[in-house]
Amino acid sequence: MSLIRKRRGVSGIISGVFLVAVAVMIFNVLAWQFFQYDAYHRIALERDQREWGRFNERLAILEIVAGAQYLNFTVRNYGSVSAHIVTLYFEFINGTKSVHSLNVWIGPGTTKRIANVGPKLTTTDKYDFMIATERGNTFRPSEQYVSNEIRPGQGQAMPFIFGFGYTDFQYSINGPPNYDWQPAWRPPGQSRPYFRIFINNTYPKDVIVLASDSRMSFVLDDFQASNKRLSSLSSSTTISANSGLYLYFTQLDQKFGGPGSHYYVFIEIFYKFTDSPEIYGTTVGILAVYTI
Amino acid sequence: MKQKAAVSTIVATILMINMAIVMGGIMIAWAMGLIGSYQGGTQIQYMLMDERVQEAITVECVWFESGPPKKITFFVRNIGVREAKLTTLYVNGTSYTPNGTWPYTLTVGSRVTLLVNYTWTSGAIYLITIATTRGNKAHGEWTP
Repeated sequence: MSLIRKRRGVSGIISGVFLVAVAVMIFNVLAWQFFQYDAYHRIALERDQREWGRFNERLAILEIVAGAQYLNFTVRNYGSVSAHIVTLYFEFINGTKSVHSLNVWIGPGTTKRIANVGPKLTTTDKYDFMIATERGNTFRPSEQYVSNEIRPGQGQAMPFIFGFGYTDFQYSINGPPNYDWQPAWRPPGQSRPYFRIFINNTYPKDVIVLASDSRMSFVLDDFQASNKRLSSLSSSTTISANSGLYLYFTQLDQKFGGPGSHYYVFIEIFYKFTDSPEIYGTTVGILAVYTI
Repeated sequence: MKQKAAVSTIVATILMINMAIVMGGIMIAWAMGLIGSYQGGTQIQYMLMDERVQEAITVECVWFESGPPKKITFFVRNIGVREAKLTTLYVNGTSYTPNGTWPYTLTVGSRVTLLVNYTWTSGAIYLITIATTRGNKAHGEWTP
């Protein structure tokens, strides 16, 4: 009996050892499988995170400056992730294309100016462009072709803005240096005043107003040439980009008519840009005065 | 008879225990080999899946150029975290070989310009697909 008991005991231990070994092996395989899947899942999650970033990257191209020598625009990041702008794809309307590298980081909710990039431009150029980010997203301006032609601001069909403020148009009976500027809407009759007007340059770059031809014509409302009065621009004057100043005109060439004379005032302005010899002409506006 | 039977019972028991241990060992060794080869295969499969998930490309821009000859220029960027080997380029389902080095290995974050002579038609829609050796694709439709 004791021998039989011993035999059963030995086989029980052996089978127990094998059972444990098999269990450990199965557990190892399952654990290994789990860890492999976990590692893959982590990589897939990282991929999903990258995709999420890509889908949430949003940029808007704003305020493309016309008249610039190189591309000059603003980018607003209205997405929820930082963007790294790395490439500029540029195409002129005539089909000439070029690719340029950029290195601009822009945080979410922020605006950044990108200036002096791309090919050299002239004021007659029309072009299309696209920026690409490191995540592979691309963004274009809202219009298909951007014109580099300079246009006046604020919707007025002229390059300068005359504000029609009470003191924007003034006269002085006394010449330089003892000017006594007064609003010129009602200048004194039988006088030969000096004039000045305040105008704003709405171009995005400096403009030189030329004295040689710019002048102020006062035409009686009977429109007879003999009743015209003239006041010329005193000297050529540079008006800085997006700013304003007074333009000074010479003394009237002859006296105004008596009190109660009504005049249309035409102000001719001839100007050029600081970086170009081309001369343009325009009017600032048609004013009216009557003498008192 | 009794004495012989007693001796043979002990010997037989020892022999059976030894045989059981040896056979069990063989079985375990066999099973471990089987598991090892399974693990090896699975590991390669997971490795390939990992690499494929880490790889990503995009067709950033396509230019249709008038020529002559007419050409299509593709700008492809690697937006993944693993280098990508561009191996096939399709235009409307037909495979083309771009000028220059091909297949092309695109490092992480970099961009490549691919040029294909192709007589395109203005206004037509072109489905462009670029595939990598890992089986990832970037595709999109462009119109000249």
